[in-house]
Amino acid sequence: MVNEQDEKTVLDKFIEDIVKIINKHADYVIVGGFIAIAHGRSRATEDIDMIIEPLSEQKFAELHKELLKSGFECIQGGSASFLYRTYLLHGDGIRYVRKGEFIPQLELKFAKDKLDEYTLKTKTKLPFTGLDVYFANIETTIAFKEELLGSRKDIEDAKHLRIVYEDKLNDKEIEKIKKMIRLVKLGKNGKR
Amino acid sequence: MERDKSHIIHLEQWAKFVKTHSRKEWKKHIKPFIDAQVKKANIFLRKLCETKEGKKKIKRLLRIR
Repeated sequence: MVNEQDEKTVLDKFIEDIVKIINKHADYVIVGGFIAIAHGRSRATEDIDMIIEPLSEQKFAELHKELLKSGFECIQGGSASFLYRTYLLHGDGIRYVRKGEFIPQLELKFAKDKLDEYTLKTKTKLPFTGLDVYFANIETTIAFKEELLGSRKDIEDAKHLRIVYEDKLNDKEIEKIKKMIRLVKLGKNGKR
Repeated sequence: MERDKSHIIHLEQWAKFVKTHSRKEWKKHIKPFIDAQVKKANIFLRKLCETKEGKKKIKRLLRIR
């Protein structure tokens, strides 16, 4: 008999373990391709993307310390202060892996604009995934993949989610987020 | 390059399978595939890490600044 723990992939277990720690220190939301993968999209990924609320340097240092203590490491290396000032404050991501491994990686970034804040505010748990973590909602994920990212992989992820959530999607919300993307991320004329 | 139609048909069929079957059922198909990819990549990257310039190459491969 297969129990629920045995069903979980190495990506599921990684995200559950790291979220347990991050959740104690910051408001977070998982975004990007992992959402499609957690819904059965038949592909793997090297990194799982996460947005967290901006933290003070001291609060970030506490989070970083606990991650190290719990068997994770940051592949950019350096002190918490270095990582904070070199990457996070400039809107760049830092990546954590389990010690001694290269993938999967968690790419962690601070929310840096209204869209990131909106994604955090509208985060949700998605029971379909069997994971007790917060994800960007499906409408936001589809809008980003179709409007901003647009690679073949992203379009296919969006198509997969549209089929899985057929009849449940709020199309007006998707259009609203696409409009926000054009304004915030692409400039008013919508150019990439 | 455009992918052929069979790829899109497969994508749609698989998404419908996920929609209409239990998580236990579709995870049974996905788990070995994802776990194996991650395992294989880590084995390869560990070997690469031991080579000359290996760490630099890994940073480039994983797009680490």
